[in-house]
Amino acid sequence: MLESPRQFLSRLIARLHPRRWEREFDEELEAHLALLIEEYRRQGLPPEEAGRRARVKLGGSEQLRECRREQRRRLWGGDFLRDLRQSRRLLRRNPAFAVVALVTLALGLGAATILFSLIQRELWQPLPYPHASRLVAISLRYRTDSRQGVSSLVNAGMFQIWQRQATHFQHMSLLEARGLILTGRGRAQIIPAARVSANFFRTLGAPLRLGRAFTPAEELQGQDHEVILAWPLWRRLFSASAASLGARLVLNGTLYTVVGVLPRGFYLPRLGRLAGQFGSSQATPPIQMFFPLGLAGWETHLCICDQNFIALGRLRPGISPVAAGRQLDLINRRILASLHESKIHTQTFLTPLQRVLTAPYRSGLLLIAIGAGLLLLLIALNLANLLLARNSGRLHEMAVRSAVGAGRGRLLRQLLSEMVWLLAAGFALGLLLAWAGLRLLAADTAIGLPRLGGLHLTPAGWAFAGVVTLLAGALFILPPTLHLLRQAAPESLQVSQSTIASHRHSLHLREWLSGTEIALSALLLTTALLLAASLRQVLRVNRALDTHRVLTLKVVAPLSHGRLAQADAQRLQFFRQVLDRVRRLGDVRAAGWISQLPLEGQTWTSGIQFFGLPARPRHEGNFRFISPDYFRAAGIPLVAGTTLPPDRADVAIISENVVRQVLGGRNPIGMKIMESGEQHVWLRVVGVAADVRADPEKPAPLMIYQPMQDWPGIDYSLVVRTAGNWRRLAGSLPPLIWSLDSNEPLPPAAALSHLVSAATHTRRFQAQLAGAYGLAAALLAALGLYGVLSASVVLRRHEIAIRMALGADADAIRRLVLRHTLRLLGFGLTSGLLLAALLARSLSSLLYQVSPMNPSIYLAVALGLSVIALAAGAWPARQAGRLDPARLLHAE
Amino acid sequence: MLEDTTRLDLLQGTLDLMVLRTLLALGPQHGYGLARRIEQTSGDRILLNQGTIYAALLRLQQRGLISAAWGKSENGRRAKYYVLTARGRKRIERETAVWNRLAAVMERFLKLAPEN
Repeated sequence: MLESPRQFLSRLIARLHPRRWEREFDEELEAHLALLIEEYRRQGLPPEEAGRRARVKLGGSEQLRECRREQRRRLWGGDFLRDLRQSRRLLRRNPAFAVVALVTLALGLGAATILFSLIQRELWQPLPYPHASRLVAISLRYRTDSRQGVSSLVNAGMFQIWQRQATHFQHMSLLEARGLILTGRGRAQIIPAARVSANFFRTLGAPLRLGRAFTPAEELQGQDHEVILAWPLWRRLFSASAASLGARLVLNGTLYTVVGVLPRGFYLPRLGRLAGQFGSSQATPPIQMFFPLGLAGWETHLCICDQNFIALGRLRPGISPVAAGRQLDLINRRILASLHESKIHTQTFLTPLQRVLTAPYRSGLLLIAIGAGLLLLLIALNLANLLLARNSGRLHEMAVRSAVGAGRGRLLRQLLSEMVWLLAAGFALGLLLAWAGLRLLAADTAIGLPRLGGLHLTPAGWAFAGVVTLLAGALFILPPTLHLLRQAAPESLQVSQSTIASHRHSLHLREWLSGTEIALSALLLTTALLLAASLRQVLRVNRALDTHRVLTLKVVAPLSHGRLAQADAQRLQFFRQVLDRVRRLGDVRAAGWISQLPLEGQTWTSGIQFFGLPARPRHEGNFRFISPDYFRAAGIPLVAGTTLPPDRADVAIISENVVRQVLGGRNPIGMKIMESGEQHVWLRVVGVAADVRADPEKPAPLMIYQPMQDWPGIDYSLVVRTAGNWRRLAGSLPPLIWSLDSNEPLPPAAALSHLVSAATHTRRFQAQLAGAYGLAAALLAALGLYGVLSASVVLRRHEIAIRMALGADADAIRRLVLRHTLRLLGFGLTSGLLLAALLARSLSSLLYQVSPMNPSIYLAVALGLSVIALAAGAWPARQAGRLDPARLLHAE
Repeated sequence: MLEDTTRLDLLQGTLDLMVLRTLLALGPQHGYGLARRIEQTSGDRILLNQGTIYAALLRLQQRGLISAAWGKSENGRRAKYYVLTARGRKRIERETAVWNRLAAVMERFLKLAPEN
């Protein structure tokens, strides 16, 4: 019952003029008194006596004072505040309900708000560049007669033609991520950097804070010794001093000049993701420094090869990605014709930068968010269930109050005011949890989300939490409350039978809620098990690599734009010396080098060709450079032939799948192989190694291992197999390497198993979160079921007593309750598993080698929930079996 | 037991309805007139502290069941006159039904013969 605007206004006026109200009240009483005195005088009393009697009659000053107090209370908030005060007392008197409701509500709300903020930040918020929607990443799909593939990287020579001819783009830029070694400032360190086109910052629309951008001349090799620093590095190296412009840095052994500084909030997406060359779960560090492309001659060589660069474009206003893509397709057709590549067809894809960046984790995030939403729904259902149970105890009170004249509106207001406390406290606590959770997430670098850094509770997050609180509140408060009010008519005082009927009605409602809870938890548990089974599959296929016995340590090549800062011979000498010394350490069984570790993604991809076999169809292989002992160190078995002989350059080892897929199973030993495009550098195959994955969830690529003498000027990883404690070995490796070259920046050494866990991090995170949701859901469902069953036992005690009196033993009674349990379980499980089966197909992009309809998973969920439900029903069943019929019937 | 303070609680709802019914019967009336009429109607079996009526009037006013305006009394003094609102009329109907039912129930209880 809301007050009318006029009432509110008069209350407001009275509040502004309390004196006036008092004055009028006094005047009214005086008039009353005068009338009373007049009447007593008419009865013939003397004036003095009439006055005394009139004052007595009008009554003690007590009532009048109460009247004034009431008015004042009313002025300061009225009924609502009084209700609030009263309901706070009620909640305090029943703390178990209040605490359970508050904690579950806050947890659910906090989780939902965190997920909302994450999604808003990662998926919806535009990238922080002007007109960011016009930024696109360019990728190519290749199709030959037999194969097709997509490359997110492009050839620089091809790109230069695009840049000259594609008019639909305002700007186009190339970039490539690359670490540079900074020396001369303490211990050598790797700075995550990127080489970029001169117009890169103009393409993004990001202005510099200090200095200048690169010039087109600097895109050429030899002119490229300038750097632009991102704000964090500028602050770290130069304490954010403007005088640092023109300062020199030694990078990869070469002097570079600082020509510019980026503003503080400059955002560059993590490039590893953009390039698609790392496993989707691996976080690459944010870029801290930029240097010019400095393209070497071989890099601009136009061919369908050497695809090493990320290409970004800014579309002209009004041009759609599709139209711009068509234009590039036309250009590409001319390029292919000029290369006489008539068998290759290409198609260009322009994807909005935002979509490219969010694609790898979109479905995962949405899945987690749906889970959080379901959990919140479950929490609300459970609270509704609790509230119904609590309300049935208050039916009598409400009926009495209703009988003595409290209107429904009045009762509703009182009941709701109780919940206002709960919702307000739940909202506050939930927001607090969300705030804390978001802070923790923002600091967690292991989660591979690119924009976590700036994550915080936004106004939209507040609003979301508010709306969700109200929705959850409406869901769990209104049905039980309205139900109570409907039942709380004064008549219900009359006959106890109608009370029982009303209890039965509320029990029925609770049965529905409980069944729905079981269904939702079945859905969540199925999802969790499907994800867990996928994780297990991924770990299973990567089991060979999941070992602590092998230690890896990356040694970065002091490379400057494709040119080695040290002579090849000097570098090889260093590699050999490291191996010699490592082998002398205790417990070391084998040690070797490789250019790129397993699971670190596909790189050095190129066509492979066997001597004497047709060049078509084209097979893409991954090229790796190793030292002879690498296979023994990494534990990769050689299935045929031998390892590489030392000091031979013209030999190679191929992986098993090359033999299967390219050679049709014939014996490869002694055959000659080469990288297509490399003219007549034939390598003799000396051995075949087992397949090794480059991505934990994709089949192993075709692999060609060459001696590291062929390409010493790149990053290499040391691989050491130990029989002892890997941690001790990890501690002794860096000093050993620094004793040979103090300028090596060394990241911490890691066991090979860390590669597996890093590559499966996101999957593990999803599975764990879904598991936690599922368990929480099952727990809530069990609680709800327990509540319903015990309420039903209390309600049916009469019937049970009669059954017992007629000869049913305790077992029969227990079976009665268990049948009830099974009925609810059956309803919940059937609908939940059906729902799961319907929805599971939408999960398939997140599953790995697990069918969304895997029967054993559904069976496991059914079994698990049955055990939980029977456990929840056991106690009420026991209680029912223990009822004493004689006492019960007597009491009735 | 009738002197018990619990009676006051019960009386509160009662008095409100009495005031409303009296206003329905008399039309606009001031506090004194209402108190007097309630005493008369009850056959002087309800002896009010007449001040109590002002608490009821305040309550009813706050709930929007009656409204008040200043006017002149029979003896020519300024007095506050109370009048039913539309909402008040509706309330009377509802409350009357409730009271009738309750009275019927109470009657049945009061007629119960003592067992043994």
